[in-house]
Amino acid sequence: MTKIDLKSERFREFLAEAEDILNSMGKGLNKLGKGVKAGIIDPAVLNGIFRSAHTLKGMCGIFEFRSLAELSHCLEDTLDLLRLGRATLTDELLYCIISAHDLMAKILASKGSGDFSGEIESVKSGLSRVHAKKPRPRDELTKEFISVLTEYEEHRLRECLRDGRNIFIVNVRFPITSFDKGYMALTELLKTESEVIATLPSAKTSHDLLFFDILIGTSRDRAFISGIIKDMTAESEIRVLAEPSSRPDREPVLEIIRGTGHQSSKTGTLKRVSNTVRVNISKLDYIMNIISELGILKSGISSLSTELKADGEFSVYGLELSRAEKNLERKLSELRDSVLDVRMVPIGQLFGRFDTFLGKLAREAGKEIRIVTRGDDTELDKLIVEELSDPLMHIIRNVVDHAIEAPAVREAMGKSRTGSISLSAYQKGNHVVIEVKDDGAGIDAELVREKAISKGLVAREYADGLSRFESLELIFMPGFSTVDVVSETSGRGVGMDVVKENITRLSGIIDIETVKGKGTRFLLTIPITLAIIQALIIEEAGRRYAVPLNSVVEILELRPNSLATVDAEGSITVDNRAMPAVRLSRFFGYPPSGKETVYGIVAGLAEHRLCIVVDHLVEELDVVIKPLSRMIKVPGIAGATDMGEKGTLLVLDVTGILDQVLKEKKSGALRTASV
Amino acid sequence: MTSKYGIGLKIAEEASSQQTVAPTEEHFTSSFEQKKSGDEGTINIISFFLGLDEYAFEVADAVEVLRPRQVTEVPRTPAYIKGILSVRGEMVPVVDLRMRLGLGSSESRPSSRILVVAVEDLKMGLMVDRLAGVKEVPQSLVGPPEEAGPNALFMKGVINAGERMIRLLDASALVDAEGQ
Repeated sequence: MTKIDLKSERFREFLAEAEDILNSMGKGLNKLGKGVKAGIIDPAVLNGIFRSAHTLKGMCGIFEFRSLAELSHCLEDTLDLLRLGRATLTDELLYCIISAHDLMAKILASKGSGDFSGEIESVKSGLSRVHAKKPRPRDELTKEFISVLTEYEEHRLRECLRDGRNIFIVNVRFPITSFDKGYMALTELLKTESEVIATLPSAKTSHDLLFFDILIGTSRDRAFISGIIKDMTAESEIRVLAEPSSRPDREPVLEIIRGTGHQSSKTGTLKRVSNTVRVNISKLDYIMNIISELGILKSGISSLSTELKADGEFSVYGLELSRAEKNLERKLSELRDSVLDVRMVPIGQLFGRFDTFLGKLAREAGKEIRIVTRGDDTELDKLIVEELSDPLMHIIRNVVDHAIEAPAVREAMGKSRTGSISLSAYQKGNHVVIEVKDDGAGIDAELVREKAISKGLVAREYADGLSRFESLELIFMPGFSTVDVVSETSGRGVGMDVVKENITRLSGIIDIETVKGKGTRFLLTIPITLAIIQALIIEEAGRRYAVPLNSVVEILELRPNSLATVDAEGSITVDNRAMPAVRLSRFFGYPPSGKETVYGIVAGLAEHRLCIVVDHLVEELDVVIKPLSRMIKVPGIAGATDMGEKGTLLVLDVTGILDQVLKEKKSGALRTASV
Repeated sequence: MTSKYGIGLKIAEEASSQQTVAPTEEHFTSSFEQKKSGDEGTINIISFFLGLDEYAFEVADAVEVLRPRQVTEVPRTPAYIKGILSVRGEMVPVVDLRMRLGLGSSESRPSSRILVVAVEDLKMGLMVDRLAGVKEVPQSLVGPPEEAGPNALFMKGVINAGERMIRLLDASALVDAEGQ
């Protein structure tokens, strides 16, 4: 037996494809869940899920991904019973199916490394507890007709009859050379007005024509169906197999309508319908690198043209060169924008996943919760969307566990039994704001502070000096939990610190707004992309750094005699506003230069501001941020950027510096007395 | 076995003699590929000098050899971390190996090289004074590490090659020590 080669291109493709299948299965389960609540089960949805499970089983088989294959096989069996109508879709069973789906996603994420045998067994036993229905007695449909149908088709036929729909047989013929195309087009058309139950090869034969009998169930009458078929100009005839609405008590009547015309398209084609290309994101990263290098080269040309313009003899060439450079710049930014556009995916992809996840969580917690999503079309970089998955999951988990009250409690408080969580996203400049809002209990800042003290996370003297907002922020400390009982989903004190860490890594900001008894709002402000960012290159104590412009609130020029004054306490006053200030070199532990005119880069985090003082502003550039090695973790540094010939620059994390300075100021570790 | 070893040592001596120009980066990188899979009972090592002492890594740990170049200093890191270097678009920390092993800081010289090792997907560049070469060594010559003390953690063993002694370093211990 060959072992799974995790690095092989094919295996990676398999993972991507399996992920897609699980995603679409998740969407199907969502619809199914809603259907179960409403009491209508759409056979097409059930079938879609069944097909996903089937495809996945096949793929896993090829790659010997046994655990996943086993589970998808089991799921396929259960779904098969459901779609054949041999089992009833109960709430309980739906839950088992959703659990199976979640587990499959988990197994896939582990890339075959984890051991899930215990969980698989429990899910499998849940799935196998399907309550089989007794087969229905055969009714008025003729046996010989039934005999050619599969069990599923028969089931659908009966369902259609039960729903009082008309059953027609559409007999069509297509030229043998192009039948596939014609058939597809026709069924697509029929599907808009009916359910296609089965397609049977017809007994009629001809050397250049293929005949099909398409069995459909529809609420439309025969004239209508023959009308839409005429539009197709396919050569067809329609037999009426059953019209329960007009003749409820009679045996099905067979009628034949002969159609005329001819299938228009004569030549077949092997072209795929889809024009989509699946691309590994690392290839896009590579293109981004080249674009950023082009930007650096361009800035070289730009300084050359400036020099030429100043040179009397060559100033004409300088002007020409600068014009050409402007054109180059325009095209370059177009190129950058289009590559960025390729990376963008709607955040709905992510929101959709929480729908099923939440249903499961709520059930486990014994709560009634509905989820509302807004702004699903808001686009974000694919990588960021993936990175957001964990933090959002932790927030939702916490909301379900701690914020939303049990139905009875809610009723007693005069709230509706069903709690609601709304996920919304909207774009705001270069950022996307993601809001997770609930109508639960809200967070009690006092309680948070007391818990943090009792758990020994902060000293009482320190905690007493905190503002309400700062107290709320304690929930992001590692090890924080307000619940003493560890539940299956949360309470282990793991989670919110992960949220903070992940969001910070994305150069994002978290804000919390909470009203006791009314609910809480988590606002995550995330840059649209990290692939390429506008950066300000600055110099401090002889070293250059890149500062992402999207995290800068404002930039100040600090002349010795300007309005801005720096006092001895390490704060700066600009237009009568005082804010803390830190010299970048001091923050990093280098001796600062003695330069008189300096610049202040103002960073913001919630209501806090910090002025970071540096020597020079050098230039503005588009740069690609690379993470520093995992072996080096330095507060205040977000990563590095490769500037080609000009070497590597560190990229500052200004909100990180702000965070760190606030912390160090509080504990008195850092003396920023002289700026 | 002994004849094999003899040949290996000869190559090493050629490479280490001053007449021979230090092997090109390409040369080493390609020889890594060839030597990754050693025969049973032998290990492939890439050895180098720190001052007068010879050290080595297993070839399987090494990725490539770079000529010294400007590294970007990273603040608030230990002194032996010289900074980071972009290696094919990936940011790799560069460590002064002499300083890491408590042998004083190394000075840049024409023969200096940066040897990039990788443990799983984590890469680390190590500044070494001079490369000796890639050689095949019988497992029987590899003894347990002799030194106790602060560096014992980074030692995998000692190769006793006649009069010479090569200290075999543990790349994963060096990488792990930086935390993740």
